[in-house]
Amino acid sequence: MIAARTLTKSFQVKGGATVEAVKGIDVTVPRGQAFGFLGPNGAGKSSTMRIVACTSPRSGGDLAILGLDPERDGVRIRDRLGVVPQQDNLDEELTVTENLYIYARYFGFSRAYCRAKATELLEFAQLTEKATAKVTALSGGMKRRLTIARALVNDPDLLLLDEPTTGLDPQARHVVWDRLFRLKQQGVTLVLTTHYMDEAEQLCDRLVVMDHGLIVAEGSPAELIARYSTREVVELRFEPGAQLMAQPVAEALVDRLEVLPDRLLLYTPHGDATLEAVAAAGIEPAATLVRRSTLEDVFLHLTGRSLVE
Amino acid sequence: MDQQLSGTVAVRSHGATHPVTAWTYRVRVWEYLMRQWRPYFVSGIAEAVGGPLLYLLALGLGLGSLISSRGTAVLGGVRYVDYIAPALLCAAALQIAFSECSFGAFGRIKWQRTLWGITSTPVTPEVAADAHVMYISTRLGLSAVLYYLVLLAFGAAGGPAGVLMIPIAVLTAMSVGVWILALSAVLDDDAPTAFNLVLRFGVIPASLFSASFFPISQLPWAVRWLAVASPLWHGNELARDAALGGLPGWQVTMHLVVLVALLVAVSRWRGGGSGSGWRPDMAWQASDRVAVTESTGQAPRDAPHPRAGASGELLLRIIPVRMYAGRSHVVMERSLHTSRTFKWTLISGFFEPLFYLLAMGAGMGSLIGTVQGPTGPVAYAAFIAPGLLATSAMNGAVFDSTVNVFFKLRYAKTYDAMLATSLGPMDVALGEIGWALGRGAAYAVTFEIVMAAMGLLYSPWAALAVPGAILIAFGFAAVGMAICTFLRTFQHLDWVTMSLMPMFLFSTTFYPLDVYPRAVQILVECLPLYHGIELIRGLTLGAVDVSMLGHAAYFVVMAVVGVAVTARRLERLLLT
Repeated sequence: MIAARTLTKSFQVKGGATVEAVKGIDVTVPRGQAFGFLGPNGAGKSSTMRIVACTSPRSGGDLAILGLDPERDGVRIRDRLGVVPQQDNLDEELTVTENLYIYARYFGFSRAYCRAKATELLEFAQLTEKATAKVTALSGGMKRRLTIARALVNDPDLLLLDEPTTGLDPQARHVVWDRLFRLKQQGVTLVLTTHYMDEAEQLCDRLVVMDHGLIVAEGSPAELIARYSTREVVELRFEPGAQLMAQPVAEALVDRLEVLPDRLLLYTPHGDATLEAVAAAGIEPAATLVRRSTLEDVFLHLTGRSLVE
Repeated sequence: MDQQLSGTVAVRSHGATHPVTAWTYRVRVWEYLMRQWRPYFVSGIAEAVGGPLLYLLALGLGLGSLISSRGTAVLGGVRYVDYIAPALLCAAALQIAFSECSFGAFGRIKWQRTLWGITSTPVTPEVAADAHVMYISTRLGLSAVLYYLVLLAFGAAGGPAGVLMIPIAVLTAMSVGVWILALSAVLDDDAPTAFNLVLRFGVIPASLFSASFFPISQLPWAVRWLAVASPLWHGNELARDAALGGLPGWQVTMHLVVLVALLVAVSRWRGGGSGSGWRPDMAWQASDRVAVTESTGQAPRDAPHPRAGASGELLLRIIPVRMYAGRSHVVMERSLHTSRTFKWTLISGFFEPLFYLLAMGAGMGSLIGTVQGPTGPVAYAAFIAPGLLATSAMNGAVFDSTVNVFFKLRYAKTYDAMLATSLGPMDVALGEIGWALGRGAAYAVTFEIVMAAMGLLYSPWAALAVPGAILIAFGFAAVGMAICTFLRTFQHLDWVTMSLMPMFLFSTTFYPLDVYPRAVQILVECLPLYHGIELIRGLTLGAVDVSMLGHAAYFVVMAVVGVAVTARRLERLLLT
């Protein structure tokens, strides 16, 4: 569905300086996969998504989407894409139903199809009761669902979602995830960006971790954890600042250790054993926690920084 | 990361817990508003000086030369330029107040949403509204001073008491402005349409009938009440009295009372109902408490994809496919869905020419008599009617293609959404321009019906005036939208309006070209509106020759260049 080689994107900013948002990435997404771009703000995720959505020409490299070149066949590719932008750009001058209907019309479908599709997608997005409401009267979660529904009016072969659940409350996120699961089951290829590890673990078959415009790791969530982290993590929580006192002692206990503002993370295959060793070494944290490794730990390992700061 | 967050400790003024009064906050918000206006200070000065210069030259001298030839006894024996100068000052202040109170204030509430940030501090919406009144009054005051100085330089500022025109103009403009400000606070999505209606049915007729350009004694009795009902008339009378004198004391008092009452009444209304101010809390009203219900059934993916046939296949072959999908009609379909006020276009299309033709044709006509048209002397109304038709074609097209498009381009992100589908920039450009033309056509038809009813069509060629007006609208809409893609803030839109005004004044709308020296004539002949007016006037008066093709060609070129530039610019702006 997507084949990119040494893809780059640079912008001219005010003052003449050039910012390289994407510095040469290779990405291949086969049909039916749920693929994720993981990374902090400014990693180049959204720039990559806009290139794939054919609303932003690449600066360099080779790119084929659905077997076509966006440079030449932008309109034909977009005809088969569904795009959920980072910020909802619903049409506030239209009602909820009209948003779906008119958007479908943009693709050139017949009026009858657009009416039927709008009704069907209202159901899908659980917005049937809001059919005649103005978009401005919707909550953030409802708007997000409507934006996702809108991206489905053309039964896209490829659905692009830029941070689909950023800014939503946990309940609203689960509703969105549920809808995306259903699409995945139906065989729709999903490409999404996120800086939430739980979202990536929930939805993605495969993902790449991006940082500073480059891909720093690639694989399935489980592979990445196996490759870049240990099985378990011991978290030692301290008063902010006190963790630095315990750091030299703790460092001797494990191969890898990360220092955060209020805690130490000890990477170990056996959490409980390490915790005992910590107590034996005389470290007295305010609280302790043994947990499994997550993508957050992978990211810390790869970049030395947290995803969500 | 573990450093102290509070390196700079917040010290509140005067060191006390609640030391500040509401006035402190008013002044601070006023200061903010003044600061955000600063980038436009220079253009504001240009506007305040250029406006009166243009009006005095065009109306005072151009129109004045027509009027003086018949005598000015009805004006009280003063020169025409002296007669209109105080009214021009008031009208200019009203114009600025309208712009600031409508799109300016509304933008801060709804589009940029800066006021939502401000009112999440101790500043209340009421205080912010007061600060707006203070800021707009300041702006008006500065502009009025500059305007007065220009009048002074022209010798059109009256006696020493003429300086009182400055506070009078500010008072007049604010007595209307506060009501528009209140409107901005309560309106939601339909605001641009509402402002347009206020302009067309409020500000413009008020400017026409309020003894600005001729005494209301020139009007039929039936329409004099329009003047009396207009705050601008009260302001004009006061300002003219300050400059020229001659008004009895009781009338001065009455005018003042009316203006002050208008100003005070709105604050009662604002304070009275808590529902009338805008409510920042609305955005956070939690309505997203939708239960996570089990999903039922599957969205069918086997729905057929019947595509409507792509129109304009010839164009498709010329324009690269990444620019154009041959589907601009769906962009127009969207406009039709959003335009719940389409009937207002028709209604204002009917009333606007009526206002203008009554005011300028009847009111001014009785001062002027006949003018030399292309076919010999014609009644003044018949002379200006085609000019007004061409001008309104221009105004409508420019409004639709700038203000409306600017909003969708910069704030609503409507075009971002369109270009994420299989539409190209050319579809968007043609669709939006096409919509402007559709409205322009409906408007021109009603305008011409009014002209016919008033007996102002002198030739069967007049049947072509509607297509002519559509062509004019096409040219202006295309160029207007192209320019719109270069604009960044809504104040830039004022520049567009500023450039329309001299065109309107000098393009032979109100008097023939020969009142100017040859050098100015050549300048005027370069303006697009001049060609539009000549085209329509030739058709309605029956002076048709080969030069009509030249005038039409001007607009064909504008249309082609405008569409091409717009599509390129949309691609650069949205597909980067």
